[in-house]
Order: sequence, then C-alpha cells, then structure tokens
Amino acid sequence: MAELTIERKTPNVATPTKSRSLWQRTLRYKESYLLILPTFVLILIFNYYPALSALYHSFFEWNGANVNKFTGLTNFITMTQDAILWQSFGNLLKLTVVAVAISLTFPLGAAALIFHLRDLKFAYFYRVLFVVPIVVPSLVVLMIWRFIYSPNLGLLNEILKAISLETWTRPWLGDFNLALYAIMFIGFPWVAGIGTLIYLAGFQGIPAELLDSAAIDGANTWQRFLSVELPLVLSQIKLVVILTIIASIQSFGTILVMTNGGPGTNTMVPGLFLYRNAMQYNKMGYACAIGTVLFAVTLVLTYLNTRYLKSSVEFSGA
Amino acid sequence: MKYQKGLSRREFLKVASVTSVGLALAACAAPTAPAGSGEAAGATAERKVVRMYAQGLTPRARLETDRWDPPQAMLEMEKAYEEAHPDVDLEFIEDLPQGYDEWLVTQMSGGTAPEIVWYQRGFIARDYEKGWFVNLDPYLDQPNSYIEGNQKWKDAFQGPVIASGTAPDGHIYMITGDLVGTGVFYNKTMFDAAGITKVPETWTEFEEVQKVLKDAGHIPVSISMDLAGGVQLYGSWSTRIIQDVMYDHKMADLNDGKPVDRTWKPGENLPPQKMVRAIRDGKYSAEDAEWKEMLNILKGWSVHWPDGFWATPPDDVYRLWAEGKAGMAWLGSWMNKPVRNDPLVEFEWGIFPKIPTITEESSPFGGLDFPAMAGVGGVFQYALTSESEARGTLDATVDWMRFITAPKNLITLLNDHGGFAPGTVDTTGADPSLAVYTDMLVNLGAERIEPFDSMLSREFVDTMWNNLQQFLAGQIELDAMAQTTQADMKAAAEQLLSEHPDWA
Repeated sequence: MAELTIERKTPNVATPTKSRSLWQRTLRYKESYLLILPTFVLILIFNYYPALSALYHSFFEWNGANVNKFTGLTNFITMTQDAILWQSFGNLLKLTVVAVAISLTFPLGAAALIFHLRDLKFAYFYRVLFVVPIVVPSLVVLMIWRFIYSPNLGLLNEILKAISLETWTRPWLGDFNLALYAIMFIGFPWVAGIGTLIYLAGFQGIPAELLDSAAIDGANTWQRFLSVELPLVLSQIKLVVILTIIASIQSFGTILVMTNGGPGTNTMVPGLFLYRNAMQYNKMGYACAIGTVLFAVTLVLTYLNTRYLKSSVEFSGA
Repeated sequence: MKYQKGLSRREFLKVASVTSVGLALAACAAPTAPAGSGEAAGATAERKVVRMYAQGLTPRARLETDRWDPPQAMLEMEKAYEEAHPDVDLEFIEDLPQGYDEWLVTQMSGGTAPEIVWYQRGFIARDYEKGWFVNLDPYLDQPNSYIEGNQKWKDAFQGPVIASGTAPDGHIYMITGDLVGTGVFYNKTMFDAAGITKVPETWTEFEEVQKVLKDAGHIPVSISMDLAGGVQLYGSWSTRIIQDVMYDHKMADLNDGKPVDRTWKPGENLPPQKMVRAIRDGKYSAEDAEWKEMLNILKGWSVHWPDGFWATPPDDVYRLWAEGKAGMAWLGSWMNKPVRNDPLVEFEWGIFPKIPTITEESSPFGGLDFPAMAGVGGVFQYALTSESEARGTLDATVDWMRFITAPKNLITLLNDHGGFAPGTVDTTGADPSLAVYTDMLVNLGAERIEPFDSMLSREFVDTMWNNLQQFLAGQIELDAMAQTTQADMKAAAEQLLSEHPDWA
C-alpha cells in the first residue's frame, strides 16, 4: 500500500532575531503561566505529593499512626518472598492479557460495524446504545453480576437448571478453577464503553477519499478493513491498549466486590493485596512498596507500548 | 486570526489572570457573619459541631425498597438535645454498608474522624496505643446529670458491660451499652410439613433433622463461608462456640492452672495476652486433637449447608431462609425486627432455645452445652476520638454521650432498632422479644477463649479464614490446614509478644 505523506504548511511566524533565555521566555508569557499555576499546584499536592510520599515510605516500617521506622529495602525483599503477592501477579498477568485481547476485538469490531452502517440514524442510535451503559455506576453492575453468579439464587444457575443443564451449575465465584475466568467474563459482550467510542472516533477521522480509492482498487470489505482502516486507527488502538493495561494494573474494585480475592487467594491481585496491607493490616510501608513496584511495571509497559506500537501513516489537514 | 481593536491578547491575558487570582483569594477568605436580628447576633458564640458515626443507629428515611422501618429514634434525641443546647450542632455520618475498617483507618490517619465512632470492643487491644481514642475514666467517674440521683456515670451500666471497653492498659476507651445475641431461626411450617415435631437438643438429633429436610428437597441450614463477609461471620461464630466445648477440659491449662468459668461477663475469658503465651508455650496449637476435632465437626456440618456455601453471598443467607428455601438460618439478634416485619416471611417461625449440644456420641470431646454465641457490645459500642480533643469539642461530645446513655434514652434507641438488649442497670421498657438472647447469654455464658478475630493480628485472621474456606470447600486437607495455621499462629504470637513485651 502506498505510504501517504502530506506536508504541513507552517504558519507565517516571524522568526526571533536573537535567542532568549528560559527566564526571559517565561517572563514574556507570564500571564499564561500565572493562569495555569493553580492547576500545577493542585497536581503537585494531590498527585505528585502522595506518589512521592509513597515512594519515600516504601523504605519504612510505617503503620500510619505511631510506628515509622526506616528499614531500607526490607519491604522489597519481603515482597520477593511473599507467595500470595507472586500469585497475585500471576493472576494480574492473566487478567491483563485477556483484557487487552478483549479491548482489541469486541469494541473494535463494534465500532467498525457502526462506522459502516449506511443509515446515519441507525449509526447514531447504536452509538448511543453502546454508550448509555457507561453512565451506570460500576458498583451497580458488579452487584448485578454477583447476583447472576450466586450459586443458589443466581440467574445463571437458574437458567442452566431451566434448560436441563443442571450438571453445568457451579458456585462460579467459589470455584477454585473458574473464579478468575468468571471475573474475566464480567461485562460480556464488552462492546459498551469508552473503547468503542475511541475506535469509532478513529474510524470517522479516516478521509473518505482513502476508502473510495481502496474501493476503486478492487479491495473487498475485509481487505479494506485490514489494509486501510486498521492501520489508520493504530493511534486509537495504542491508546486503548495503554488505558487497558493501566486500568488492569491499578484496579481491584471488581475483585474486592465479587470475591474479595477468594476463593482462598485464587483471584487475589496486587492492587487488592496492597489495599489490604494498608487498610486492614496497617502495614502502610509494605503497601507503599507494592505500589512502587506496580508503578514501575506500569511505566515499563507504557514505554514499550509507545515505543513499539507506532502508526505507519502520518497525515494532517491540507 | 486578528483580535479586534480595543483588547489585545496581552491585555486580555492580564485581565484574566488578575481576575482569576482575585477570585481565588476571595474563595479562600473566611466568611463574615451576616448582619441580623439581635437573636442571631447573640449567637455569635461558636457553635460546637459534634459528628457521630452511629452505625446501626444512624437514622434515615424509609425507602420504597425497605421492607421494614429503618432506625429513626436518634433524630428525636438530636432534636431534644439541640433544643436544650443551642450551642451544639449534632451531625450524623451516613451509615457505610461496607469498608468501615478502611474508612476508620483513613479518617483517623487524616485527622478528619468524627468525634464519636462506632468501634468493636474486641479491637481495642489492637488500637489503643495509636492515640486514636480518649481515655474515658475521668468522665465515667463523674455524675451523669441526665440520670436522676446518679453519682458516677459508669454506675448506670451493668459492671461487665462498661468494663468491656477496657484496654490492656487498664483504661476504658469506649462506651458499650448493649448486649447482642444470635439464634438458630427455624421454619416451623417446614418442620411440621417434614414431620419434625421436636426442636433438636443434641447434635445427633440435629443431624437427623437436617437429613430429613435435605431429603425433602430443602436446604437444611443457610450459612455462608464466602470471603466477602460470610466466613468472617460464620467462621468466627462457629469456631468460637465449638472450640469452647472442645477445649473445656484444657481451660485450666491455658489459664496457668486456674479454672475458667463460663460467664457472660467480658474480661473473665482468656484474653489475647494469655492466648499468646499459651501459643508460645505450646499449650494451644492448631495441631491439637481438639483443634482438629473442631474442624472435623465443621466439615461434617457443612454437607447440610447450601451448595457452593463458600461462594454464597452473606445477604443470601437470610434470603434463602425468608423465602422458604432453607429450613434454618443462624442469624443475629439484629435480624429480630426485620424477621418480625418482613413481608417475605410468610411462615410460622421460631428460635432454638440453644444450639444443639455436641454429646460424647458425636465427639470424644463433647458433653458440654455450647456457650451462647452472644455477648456484650452490639450496635451501641462507641469510642470518642482524639479529634474531639483537638477540636475543643470533647466536653460537648461527652455530654451528648451522657444524654443518649441515660437509660430511658438508650432503651428508646435500642427498641427502635429492635435487635439489642440494653446493658444498663435499669432496663425498664426494654423490648421483651429480645429476652431469648439475653437468657441464652446469662444461662449459658459466652465463649471462654478469645475469638480468632481479636486473638492475634488481622493478617493472621485473614489467613485463617482463607484456609478455613479452602478446607471446608475440600481444597486442602485437615493436616495441611492445621500445619499452615499453626505456623501462622506462632508467627503472629511472636510478633505480638515483640510489640507487647509486658505480655510475656
């Protein structure tokens, strides 16, 4: 496929005759900096300070109240010997791989289908239909899934009994082999959400001329999707993958509500383990160390994603 | 793009930045008192705000989905108190359905806790050294002006009830005002239909009754051992009472040779300090025959629980019984009012006078009645936080507590809730339907060994419940469960001894 390169016209800006120092440039635009200063202060206080405090306290035995003793790398060494933490990372890997696979398939497919609807009214209708579930609080959704999975009163087992598949009934969230997969299944068919919207925006940004050219060249629907549309939404794919990885690593609300890490520790994830150590065991220092490691993992994965998932096409407005 | 004449970009930015800074400064300025009538002007004295997390007594409006009336009496108390004390503003924190411990830790760490918090008395030993709570001894020795003739506030309570808030340092850090119980609620209609004419008195009879119900297609007993609340409740209750019977012949050994009588009075059991020493000295171990027998009994009983009981949500326990799917449910006295008023309950029901006794026929360590799964401290367990001292509202907070613990007011609150009996000396007007729980407590006494929930660390008890769930679900064998638990128990005991050298 021919590579597209469209030159950007640079605006007519007077080139400064001499270079200015950083201080001089700052003073020149001091009103702008003053306007954004409150935002920076708030970010420093509510985002950077807690993160730096966590990094600092990860080297301490700290209970958040009356114990705050420097212990060096003890917390990190303890992590290497913590079997539950290792198990939780294993669960996290499985959950993240499946979450990424899901984010690359179902919402992408749904967005492509909506994009190709000829009737714009239908396209709008389906777009709204897939977006409306976002406004439902996630806790409500999880409580409903908990009810669905309930072994004695739940919808899933009742349906299976009704269609004579009683042997298939399970304590889904209590099955030591299936609980993690039951968690992964939450949200099926995974089309409602921000991912679909992001992909749809990407598809809608593809110039119609490119699609017309592909049609003239004799490309069928599948060839057009694979060779034209997919490469042009690679930025959106990259964004969704990054967001999915970050969300997967950080979140534990689903596990907390559905299984609380059980049965046993079969659905434990690092985020929940961190939360438990901090809030229930008062081992704040250890929890900070876990948080530091999770931050490092997220940083590495984000870097790899940004580095290796590049769009092969660049284009801008004429 | 060209800007129109009259306002250049630079000028616009200047105006905008000055306006923003001005707005920010104005927002940070303290509000000025509005000019008003003489009455309003006279109230310029600072109003003290006393915030309270009242837990189960938190008043709220009835919702359409409520099947019984929620508590409301605290609003009457608030109104009466504020009318008598116009300088005090009372505020109730909304009741939290989950995550209370985490909320409390966050609030205390951040210095934003309310003046009064609900607090489980069993945890006082864990947290009293953190400086979170006010030592109430001086206040308890002063009279309560809301009780006629009262010389000391603490005399209004039954001795063991108020003493239950005592920490290992000998000071009282919380006000406990009630008694809580549990009972096996049974469906009389289902029993009659199944031909069960008598409430079982022994464990053998109990197993027969459960078998009859199971054969009739019912769930015999509704219990949950799921990790999101089930095992923390039923795991705790069941191990407490079974362990007391199993270790009955060894109680003196655990207590340095002195006998331990069953009593409903807290503080006369084997507290954490003694259990930690017993673990250290090998007198109490998860590998004891008695400990393993406790697990065997639970495992044997679990065949009569709902399918997938280790994944059954705790809310389903009551629902399965109320909808007539389960013949029995082990419920707390706080379900007293719901059960009496719930339109879902369309059958005749009753409460066992006691949990059927494990005799020697059922276990080599059997023979003694179970203790009551009951005790001091239910919904009325409150601690005053050190935040009240920091904010200068301690006197107002203490006064409010004195007001609501005056027997007439306390009993009004507890009757409105419907699930707890008063722990005051004067119990005039108490709800008679709660007598079944207090009778059990007084006649049978409470467990003598400190519950696992408060015996060792929170980390240990989480591991204990995890292991118990896995054992009951058939994932690990008895010996593996005992070995793992013993290793954790020993480590937890050693940790506590290092933190509390005086316990050695």
